[in-house]
Amino acid sequence: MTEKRYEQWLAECREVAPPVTLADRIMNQVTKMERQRRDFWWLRLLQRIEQSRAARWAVCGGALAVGGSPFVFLAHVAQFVTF
Amino acid sequence: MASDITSRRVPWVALALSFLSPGVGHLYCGRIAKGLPLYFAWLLVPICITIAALLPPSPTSLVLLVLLPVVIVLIVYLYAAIDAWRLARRIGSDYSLRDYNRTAIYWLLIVVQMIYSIGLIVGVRGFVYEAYLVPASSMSPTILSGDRILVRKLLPQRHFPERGDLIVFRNPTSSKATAFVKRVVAVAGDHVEIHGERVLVNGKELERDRVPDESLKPLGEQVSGRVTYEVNSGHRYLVAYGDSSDGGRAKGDFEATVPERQVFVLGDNRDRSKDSRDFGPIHLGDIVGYVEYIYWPSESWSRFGVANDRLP
Repeated sequence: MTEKRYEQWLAECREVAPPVTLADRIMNQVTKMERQRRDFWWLRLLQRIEQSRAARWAVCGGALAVGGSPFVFLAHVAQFVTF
Repeated sequence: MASDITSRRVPWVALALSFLSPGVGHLYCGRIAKGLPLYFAWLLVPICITIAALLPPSPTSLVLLVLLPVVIVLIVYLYAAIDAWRLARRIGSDYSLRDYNRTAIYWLLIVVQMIYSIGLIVGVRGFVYEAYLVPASSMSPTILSGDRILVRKLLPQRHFPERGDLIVFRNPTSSKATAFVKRVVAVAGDHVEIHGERVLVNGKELERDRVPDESLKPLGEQVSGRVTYEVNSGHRYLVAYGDSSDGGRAKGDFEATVPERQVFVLGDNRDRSKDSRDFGPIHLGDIVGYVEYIYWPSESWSRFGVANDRLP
């Protein structure tokens, strides 16, 4: 019974013709998304970084330098580093 | 909650986020249950150090509750970075975005962790323990030049120094040093007399004992002059006399009564110390804390541990 109803629903769906503007709407949406993607400067930066191994190393090194600063401060407090 | 939108997890982004703040790389990869304990790992340091300050000083407390938590946090930091990177590699593009996968959340967590980790260190230094590097030999042979000491600041509310205690106090002179470390020899109301090498407190001369040669070996080359044990109110500690190196010279006789709420301090290297004989007694309000540990000795590591010389 359920299978029969499904077949019927599928046949009905196939009979429905897609709107003529559907392809245009999809293409417009894709173009809009692409433009939005280009508008995000950080997304462009991210893509550039991803393309360059040196840039990836630099970002991770910078993150290590910033994230490791509490340890440097701890070393300073423990009198091992003076600045 | 996972959404229908799938996204790629980039290993170097996970690594960078984890370097910035351990645990955030795991959040980026959707592992919140693993990320949060890593994120709060820094809390281990103040909790353990405060417990250490509340317990009687021992080398075990120093190692397990003061030094080890710092090492653990460092290991956690490195582990979190490597694990987040591996996780992102494993996940690849098959990742359903969660509610918390937002750039703003990552940055917020990073900033909060920066502030709280540095704040915890400042808090511990301000209220629990403060570390000092001793640059002079005025407390030799007890504390040598180059020793790093831990000074306890967390004290019971009405705690007063006793004779024999090692204290750090704000520099009462115009010299550049921020603080001095000395030994309390007499407390408020005591009468102190110093005649040559003899120290008398309330008319009673402090006892002296001979020091076996092997006890001086860990002190290395830094000790010169005559070294003896001095006993004062249950403390037995080493004192040096006749150290004339670097301009050291014996001081003349001295006599004083310690006023209320003040203590009289002397350096253990009696002929090379600027102390209460020069700048008078120290006000209790100028005391920063009590020396509890030598955590990085300049000479032999056999001196590592408690700088407590109270007799059993």
